[in-house]
Amino acid sequence: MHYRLNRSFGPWLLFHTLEYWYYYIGAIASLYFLHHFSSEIPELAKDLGDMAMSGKLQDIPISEFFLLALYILFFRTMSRLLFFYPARVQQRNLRMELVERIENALPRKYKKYSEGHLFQTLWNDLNRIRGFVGFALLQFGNIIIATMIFIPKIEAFNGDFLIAFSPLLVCVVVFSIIIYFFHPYQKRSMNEYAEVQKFLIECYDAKKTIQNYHSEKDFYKVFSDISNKELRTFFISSMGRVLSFPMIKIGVAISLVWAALIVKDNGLAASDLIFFSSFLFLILEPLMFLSWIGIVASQGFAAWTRIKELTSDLEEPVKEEFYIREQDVNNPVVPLWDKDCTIHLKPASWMVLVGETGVGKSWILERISEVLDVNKKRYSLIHQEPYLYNDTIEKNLFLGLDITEEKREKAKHYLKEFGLDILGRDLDQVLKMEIGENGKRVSGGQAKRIALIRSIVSEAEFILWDDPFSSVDLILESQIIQNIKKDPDLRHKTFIVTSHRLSTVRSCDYIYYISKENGLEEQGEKEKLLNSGSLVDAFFKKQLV
Amino acid sequence: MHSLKNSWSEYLYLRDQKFLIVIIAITLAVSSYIGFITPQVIKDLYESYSKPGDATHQAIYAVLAVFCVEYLVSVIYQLSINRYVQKLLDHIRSMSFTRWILSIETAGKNQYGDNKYPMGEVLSRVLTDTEAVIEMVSTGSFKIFIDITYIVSCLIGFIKLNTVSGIALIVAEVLTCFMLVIAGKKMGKVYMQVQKSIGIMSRVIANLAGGFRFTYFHPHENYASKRGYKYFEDFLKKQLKANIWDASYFSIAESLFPILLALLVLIFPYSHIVEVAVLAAIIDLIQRSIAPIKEITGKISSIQRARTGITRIEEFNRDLKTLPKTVFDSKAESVEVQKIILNIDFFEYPKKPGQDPFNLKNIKIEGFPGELIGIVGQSGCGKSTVLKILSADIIAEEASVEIEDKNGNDILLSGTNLNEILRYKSQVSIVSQDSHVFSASLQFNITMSYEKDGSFDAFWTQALSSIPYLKTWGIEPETQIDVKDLSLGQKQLLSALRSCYLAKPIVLFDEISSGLDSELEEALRILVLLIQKNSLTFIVAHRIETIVHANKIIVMENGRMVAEGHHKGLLENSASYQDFISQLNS
Repeated sequence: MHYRLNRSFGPWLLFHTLEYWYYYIGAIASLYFLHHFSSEIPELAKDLGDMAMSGKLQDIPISEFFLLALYILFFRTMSRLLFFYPARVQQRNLRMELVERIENALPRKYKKYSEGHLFQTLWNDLNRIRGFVGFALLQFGNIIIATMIFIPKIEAFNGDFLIAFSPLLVCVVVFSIIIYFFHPYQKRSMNEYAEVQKFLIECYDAKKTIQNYHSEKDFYKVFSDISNKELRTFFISSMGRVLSFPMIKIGVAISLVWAALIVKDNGLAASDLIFFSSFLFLILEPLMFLSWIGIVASQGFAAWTRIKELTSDLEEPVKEEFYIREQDVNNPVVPLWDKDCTIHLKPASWMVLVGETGVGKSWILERISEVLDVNKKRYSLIHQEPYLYNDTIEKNLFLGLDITEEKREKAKHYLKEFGLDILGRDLDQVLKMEIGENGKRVSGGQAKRIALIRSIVSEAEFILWDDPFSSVDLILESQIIQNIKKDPDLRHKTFIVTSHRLSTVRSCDYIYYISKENGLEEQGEKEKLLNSGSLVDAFFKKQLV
Repeated sequence: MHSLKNSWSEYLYLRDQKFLIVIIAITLAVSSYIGFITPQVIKDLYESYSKPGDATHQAIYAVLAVFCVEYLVSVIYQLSINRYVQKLLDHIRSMSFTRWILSIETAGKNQYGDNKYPMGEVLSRVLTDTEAVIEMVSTGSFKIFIDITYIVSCLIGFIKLNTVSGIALIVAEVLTCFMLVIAGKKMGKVYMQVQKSIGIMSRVIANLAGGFRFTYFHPHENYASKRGYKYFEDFLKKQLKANIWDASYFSIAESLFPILLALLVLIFPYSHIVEVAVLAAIIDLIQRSIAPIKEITGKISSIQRARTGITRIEEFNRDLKTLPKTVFDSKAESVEVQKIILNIDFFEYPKKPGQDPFNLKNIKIEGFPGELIGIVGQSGCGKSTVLKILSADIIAEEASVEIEDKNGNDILLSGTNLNEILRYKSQVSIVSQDSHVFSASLQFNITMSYEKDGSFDAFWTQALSSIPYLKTWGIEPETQIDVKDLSLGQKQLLSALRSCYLAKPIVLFDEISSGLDSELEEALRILVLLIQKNSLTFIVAHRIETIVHANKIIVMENGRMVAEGHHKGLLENSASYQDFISQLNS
């Protein structure tokens, strides 16, 4: 299924063209007709000149001009649309493919890519690919076909004129070189702009502190420095444009003058110069984009390389021993600080991992999840700081699952049980509530509880919660746990949680004590481990001091 | 209206850049002259073929000269205008930034210090709104002014050669421009939808990208793909529609050449063109004028965007002008505190529907230099509100803070007298979770200044010797702080170090409640002692160790002061204090 992004750039391009071959055939044909018809204008213009001289103006058919205009309008539009359409559809398909592949890949495989990096690939890089197929290919075809049609026509008229195009060509090349030379400044200026932005955000966060310590002037200076630097770079990058664009005009002028000389030397008629100048005008449009083709193409290629790197990382099996090892799903072995810990899972019970901050509890939960994952168990892990999407609470609870009325009722039941009914007038309103970007509009504790409900409304057999009740008060916490234990749907599920609180630990059935020095030091029934003399007991005693 | 115009000149006219303005004016003048003679020069060229001798060569030199001058003028014009825009943007940004950073934002009637403008607003007004102007430079939109000057002069120049066809061409081209602008407006609307869709899609992608590594560990049924597809599809549809507009729009512009030629033929009976040279000149003119006509719509809309941007910046600045502000280089006046008296008769938060009103009543605290005053109580008892009133972040009408100065320069913070608020604020520093730690060097984070100051070295040596944790941590004055890597405790340590260095007479300390490892906890304790040496310190405490030796402990419950005294005394007499202590232990 997923093959598009596995190809190299060249084969993919070929595949893409073959996939949409009928569009491209149509597009090439349109380009051909476009230039074929527009190349008739110079001759008509020349005829105008001849007739003006001979005084036979009434002979000129106006309809021919209008017909030409119509042809140009039609074929130019068609050629553009036929190039744009496959490029846009392809962009959507590639984006879908990439989202799907990242979504279903073990996060460990793309560990080295930051959130921002993934965004860049999904956003900018795929836009660049679109730019390549939609723009660079079109302009490339445009130039090739235009020259293929124009040259024979001019040659048939008077071969000497061809040489007069050379100044224009030279100027276009110089133009492209200038653009190419100044291009890096554009990127630099963009980076510097991002820096100004970053600084401004920092100033925003720190405004109170800045004012409190009277550092406004220092911050003004820094702002002014970096903003100035950015604007300077920007000015330089704009110079490329300023110097290069009028080059085309100069090229046209010199070509025209050269042709004027040819007309003089060969004793041609003045109207022949009109013929030449009209061709000069026609060839301008395709040539204008010459310099961009190179830039867009190289960007597209670089973007493809980056995408390819990501996709091959997604394909590659993870090499670490933990992932290769055969695991007994009931007794997963988790590497922790150079030691292996075998965690004996107790089905249909509450297990709690206890230990100091930073000892690796979250790590263990994630590894257990991976073992469950490999063994095709249904499980649900809620991280310490869970991620909520910018969507309704309902969508956040069911995450792509088809929502039936029965499920919705259940969700409402739990929302109430978890004390989230206060979010709206009634529970239906709560379900429909938009959470906003990064879980705005709900507090951290509420976001956490929404995520916990996400777990229990899913069909997971194993539920892993990282520090679930940190922002819930003791009364609500014990209510929630008691209700879950009584709930016929949830009673048989296996809960693995981490906690710092004695109260949570007391509500669980099995305790696992982890330390940095010795890994998993104790595991066993709550009743045993809460007795004095155990490490768990010592741990909580220490907390009291 | 009048005042608006006046302020526009404040934003667009730079007094110290007159030179550039003069150059721009000269280039425009030269360009219109060149435009005016161009049709004649072209006509001369074509005419020269029927003349004997060297006339053609001379005509050719004239054509070449005209185009070279035009190139030069166009380059000089654009360089000058871009330079001017660079200076202008620098000016606008600095102005907005200065006004904003100096302003004291007010949220609501009695609350100073909260941000009136959300971050997005500040970012747009100081930075993004100038983007439209930047875009005008990078797309060469300013070129349209000189291009139009040139073409209009050309057309006027041509009227001299053949009045009828000249005027007809002007009318036709103006009409075409008009039609294209109208079509362009429609296209603009279609593009606005695309832009909107792009905006939404990029936010959705960013949102999904953040969730991948969490949602994998949950039965998610391809949530991201499903959600993504909806928005990708929406964008695709809108973009394809926009493509139809865009392709046909430019195709119309491209077919103008034969259409205008047809027009030429149509008016032959009236224009009486009999010379091939005049005909050639008008064909040349048509070719020359098509490019600016094609561009006009795009340029007009980018000029409009830039205008909206500037208008918004102008509004922002006008609004900022109404806010109270501090000044650069304000130095705190030197006050020798003898005594500080906090008096809260009554304070209530604005009521929110469905919530019980919460208020503070009858709170009176007195403090003396060198003292450590602890404020304790269960969460929700109002201790942070007291701290906010003490820091003048909340200005309560029925509350006052008085600083008695040895030399009689007392400061009385009472009500909304801005001058007193500023005087008062300059005497106070705050260490809390909101204290910002900068992604900059350690030294900057402590001194809050980019200038090197000798007193810092002495301070640092002392800090190193008294706080062992700093050595364990291994940071040095030049170390670049990466805020992401800091724990909450480390952040608090840095902001406490800052307060210690700056040694304001009054320091307000909001202790973090979360767990700290023992070394860091000790470091913070030592720092509180160091701060206490120079300043009267109020501390909202979450740890017994911090307040055991406090000069005074205020116990709060439900917005009231329920007890006051030393640790030992309170432990015996106050039930609330005992509760608080036992809660710390549980």
